Amino acid sequence: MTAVTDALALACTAAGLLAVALAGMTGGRWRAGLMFGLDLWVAAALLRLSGAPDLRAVAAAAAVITARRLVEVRRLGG
Amino acid sequence: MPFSCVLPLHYLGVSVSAVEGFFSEATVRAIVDVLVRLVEAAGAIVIFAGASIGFVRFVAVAVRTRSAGAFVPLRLELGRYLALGLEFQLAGDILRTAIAPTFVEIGQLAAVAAIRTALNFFLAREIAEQRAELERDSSAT
Repeated sequence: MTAVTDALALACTAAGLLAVALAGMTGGRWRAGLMFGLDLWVAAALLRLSGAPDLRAVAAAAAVITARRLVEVRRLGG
Repeated sequence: MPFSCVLPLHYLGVSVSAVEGFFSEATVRAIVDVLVRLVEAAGAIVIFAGASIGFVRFVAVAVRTRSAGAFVPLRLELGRYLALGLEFQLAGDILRTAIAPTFVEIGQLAAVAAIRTALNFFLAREIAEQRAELERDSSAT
């Protein structure tokens, strides 16, 4: 199952990158695109946490979730 | 304590050794392992389905509109899928605690469960904030 979830996580990561690029290039909505991209990267991190994750996967998920939270707090503050 | 002391199995015509064999540690471990895989697969399917649907809708909205606020409902929907997938994964974690034998495995499980619980908390809060934002926007127009 790990191979399948890794492939799905990779697809989510690529979709996140595409979302950021698309939102930025179709109207300069970089921040909104980044927020949606971070949501997709969180999905990728959660997929990587399926099964028996190693500490690297746990640390990566924590980093993505922290980054997402920081951007969200900054968006609501500014 | 043997099952024969707890349940009057001989009255039911059930072999005590068969019941004890069925509830042996190896059998319970195998059953829980299958259940964990099923629950985690369900969570992964929900998360990936949400991400796919969200991305397709995001592309359509990005091409059609020029407003950054148009992405808020999409994030709200994706957040709901992530929260649901997380619930499945947390259920898998809880099931796995039944068969986590070493302290290292229990520690890893605790770290993953803590991350999932924190994310679930933040997601629920963000969904509420975004819903309030949408309601404010719709009442302003």
